[in-house]
Amino acid sequence: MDALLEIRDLSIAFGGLKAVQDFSLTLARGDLQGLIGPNGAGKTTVFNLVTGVYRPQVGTVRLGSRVLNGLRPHQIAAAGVARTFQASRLFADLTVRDNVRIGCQLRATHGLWATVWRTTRHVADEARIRDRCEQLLATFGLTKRRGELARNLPYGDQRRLEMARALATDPQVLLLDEPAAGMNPPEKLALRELIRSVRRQFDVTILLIEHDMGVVMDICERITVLDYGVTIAVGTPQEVQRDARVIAAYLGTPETEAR
Amino acid sequence: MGSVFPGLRCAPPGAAIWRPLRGLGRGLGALAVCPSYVPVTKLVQTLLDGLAVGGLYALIALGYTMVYGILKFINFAHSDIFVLGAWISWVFAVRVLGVPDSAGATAPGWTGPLVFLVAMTACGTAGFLIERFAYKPLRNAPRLNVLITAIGVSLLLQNTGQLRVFFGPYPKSMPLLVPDVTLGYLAGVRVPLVDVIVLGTVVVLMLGLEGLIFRTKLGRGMRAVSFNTSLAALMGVNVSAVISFTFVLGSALAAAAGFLFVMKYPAGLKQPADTSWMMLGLKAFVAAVVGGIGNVRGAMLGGMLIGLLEFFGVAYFEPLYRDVYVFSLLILVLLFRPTGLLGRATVEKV
Amino acid sequence: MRLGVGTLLRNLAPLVVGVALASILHFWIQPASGAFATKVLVDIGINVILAVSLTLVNGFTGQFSIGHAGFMCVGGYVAAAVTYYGSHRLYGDAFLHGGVLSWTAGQGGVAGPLLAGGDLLFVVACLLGGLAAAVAGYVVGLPSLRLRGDYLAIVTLGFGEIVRVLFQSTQPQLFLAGEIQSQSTWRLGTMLGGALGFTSVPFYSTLFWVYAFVALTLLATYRIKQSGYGRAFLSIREDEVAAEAMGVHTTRLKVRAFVLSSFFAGLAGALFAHSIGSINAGELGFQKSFDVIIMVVLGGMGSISGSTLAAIILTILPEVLRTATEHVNRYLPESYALPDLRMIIYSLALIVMMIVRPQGLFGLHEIWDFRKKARRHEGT
Repeated sequence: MDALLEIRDLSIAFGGLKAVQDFSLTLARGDLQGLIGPNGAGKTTVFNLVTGVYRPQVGTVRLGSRVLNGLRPHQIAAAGVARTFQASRLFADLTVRDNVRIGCQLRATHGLWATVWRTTRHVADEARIRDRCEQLLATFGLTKRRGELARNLPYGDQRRLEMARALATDPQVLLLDEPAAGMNPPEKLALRELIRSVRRQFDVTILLIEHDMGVVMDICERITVLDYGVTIAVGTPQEVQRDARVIAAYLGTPETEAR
Repeated sequence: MGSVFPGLRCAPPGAAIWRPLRGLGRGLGALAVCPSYVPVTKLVQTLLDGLAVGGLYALIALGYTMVYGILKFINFAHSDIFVLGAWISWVFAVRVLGVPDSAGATAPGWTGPLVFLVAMTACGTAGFLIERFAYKPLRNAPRLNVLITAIGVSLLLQNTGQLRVFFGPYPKSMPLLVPDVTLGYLAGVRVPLVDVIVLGTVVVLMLGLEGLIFRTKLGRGMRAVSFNTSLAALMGVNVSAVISFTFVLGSALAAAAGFLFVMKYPAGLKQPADTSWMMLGLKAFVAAVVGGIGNVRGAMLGGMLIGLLEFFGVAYFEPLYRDVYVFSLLILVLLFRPTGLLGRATVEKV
Repeated sequence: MRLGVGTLLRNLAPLVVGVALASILHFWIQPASGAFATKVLVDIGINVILAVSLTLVNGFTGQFSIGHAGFMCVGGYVAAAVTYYGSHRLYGDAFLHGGVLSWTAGQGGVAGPLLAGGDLLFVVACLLGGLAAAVAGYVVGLPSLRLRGDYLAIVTLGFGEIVRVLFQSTQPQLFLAGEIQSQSTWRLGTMLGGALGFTSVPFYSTLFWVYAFVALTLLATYRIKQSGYGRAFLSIREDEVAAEAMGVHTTRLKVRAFVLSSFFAGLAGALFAHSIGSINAGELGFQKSFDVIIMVVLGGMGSISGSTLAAIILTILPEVLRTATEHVNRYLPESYALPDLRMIIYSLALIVMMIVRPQGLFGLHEIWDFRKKARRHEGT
């Protein structure tokens, strides 16, 4: 099994707070893995480290043979790692269609000059972007809403739009930060299917952060559990659920579950 | 554009009171007589001017920095409050108290402090009203909108000030409320009373502000709001009151700067929309940024630095580039230490 | 870039339309309207270019530049110097050497070639002015990589002031043909008139040239807005972190927005210098920048048609106001005369707009977007 995304010994501290310590994780091509842990465990920090928002102080991130750490976020996106955000960071005042098209733009090949002169290449590129955008919107059930502003979407649609936008960059690895947050139970059920079908249809490898145990335990093949920045368990959903330290971490902070 | 500091070297004809003191000064001057081309003289002169004007920058910068610390936006209209302070001083002294604004006229000793207090009160009120009617409706709006509003308020103040009902479109000359007395000579440089008063007032106001911010309950509230507004509200701080108070305080300090400015440069009372005012205000803002915006001590340090830089640049390099020095420093500081000299770095949460 | 037939066609059509409109203005409207109306029309054109170029930065990428007049200044001086000294080099004097397109009716000389050497000189000067401003835009754009919002605003303001001071401290302008001939070209570049401004610039900015450049500006900005580039600009304004995560090279694009915007501002400055025959940095301080900002903010930050409309209205409005106050003042005693209310009205409009409709009249949209929306609503 060849590793696609290999994270090794990643660490970062903010002031005296060690947000993430010696985090390692390997995603093989086609994997669907989960990253869980109580609030403040450092899950989103891991995403920020992998996607270049923060620079890791120690450790390496590798995509195939390419080292990603030290690159800027847009370079990492271009290399093939896309993400969604925990708190929705959609382009709120743009339409649903434009949100997705901005993601598609990454794979366009024409320059500013071509845009001003509207060259044949620019026109062809725009047509390709339009098609890909429509295809993505259809996959995520957003076709009818494509002309609406992202800020006016219901919460569930916003989460799906985040995923569509990330996939528009044509990634190899997709990092999903709490895709089920704010969804109602039927939507959560549909989300499980959606994530599985996305993996098939777009041939992506997925790492997901999620608080909803129903979703995580159902779809993830392998789960990593973080607590206070430290990996406390790794294994299949069954193994993780039985792990004494995981139970302690979750029971020790009951208010986490209450939220 | 003319000089921002008209009448810089030529002191206006003096008031006739405190004649003995003046005589004493002349006597001291004779002792320490020193031709003006001596390098030390030039140095001391530049230092004195730079410090006095730097102190004024610092006073204005305090208002910028306090508002920025709490509301995170540049109150563009702040420099116009400074102008308002200067003009109200003139209106109150000349129109209300009837001090003649012709050259060589004198005023009783009590007018100065009275005008000073009136200007501070009036500008404090203006600051309160501006906050209440222009900025408060935008408390949760994007910062850019607030910035644009502030530009709007600034333009409004300048141009209503120019109306004949208010200050009119012509420059005026400020009467001498502080007698033009020479206190002594320092290495051949005349030390006029007004410079000592300016520096003294600046120092007293700054110490008072320090005390207010770090030793009183209200000051604690201000610090809490600037640290985290919503958290402060949860802790029972009356955020609205604190913000209003900050505006009043900042505006009063700007008014003080305005008063002191026209005391030092009586011919500097240009019409309200004159660009020289805007430049003064901008330099004060630069002072706030250089010192570290949101940081009260930084504003004081920055003001002094900018004043000295400007006057040394003018005295020792090219006088034409007086604004260029200041803005170049701003750009350098922003590029290499965006948080300013005394500012703290913040991490943006993703 | 491959020059296909399609590319050619797509550019030929707007070219024909633009030239046709500019010609109509030049050959029919201009002779019919008086000198005053022509001047207002020229001002409108220049202000449209300024407003639309500023909307590239302030509207699309959400940066906030308030030093736009600085770029205008750079473009104006460079272009004015190129035509003035260039004209001296080529023709030995600084008169108009253009064809019919650069002659305003009533000045004579209407019967001549359509274009002449002077026109080429003028167009090259305008483009050079734009390029010089673009270089300045690059320099100012660099801090935008590290600064946001208000800080950037102050830096741009500072830049505008520095530019003003630098131009005001240049050497005196040369007026004698002999002296000009004897100077090297580089030396001439430093003789820009200092505090007196640069004068005696030939009046090339006829309605034709102004509106030809207006058409160019509108076409280029509209195409950018409608393309992936435009969307990438907008994504920066919406959420820089998310944009970066979607692969948008935010730093590069921000600088490019500045470069483009200042190119057009430089163009406007060039046209301005050739319309009033002089350029003076002292008159292009932050007040001028604020004028442009008001247009962009009121028209809608990010709306090309909105900025255009605002530029048109805000150019005409002061003239109307001035006439109206003069009219009223005739019946009022001197001491009760109405003052110039222009800036008071503008500033109030700015404040009220921010409170009532912060995105400006049209927001991000174009005027025709609303008609489309209205039609859709009628349909359902």
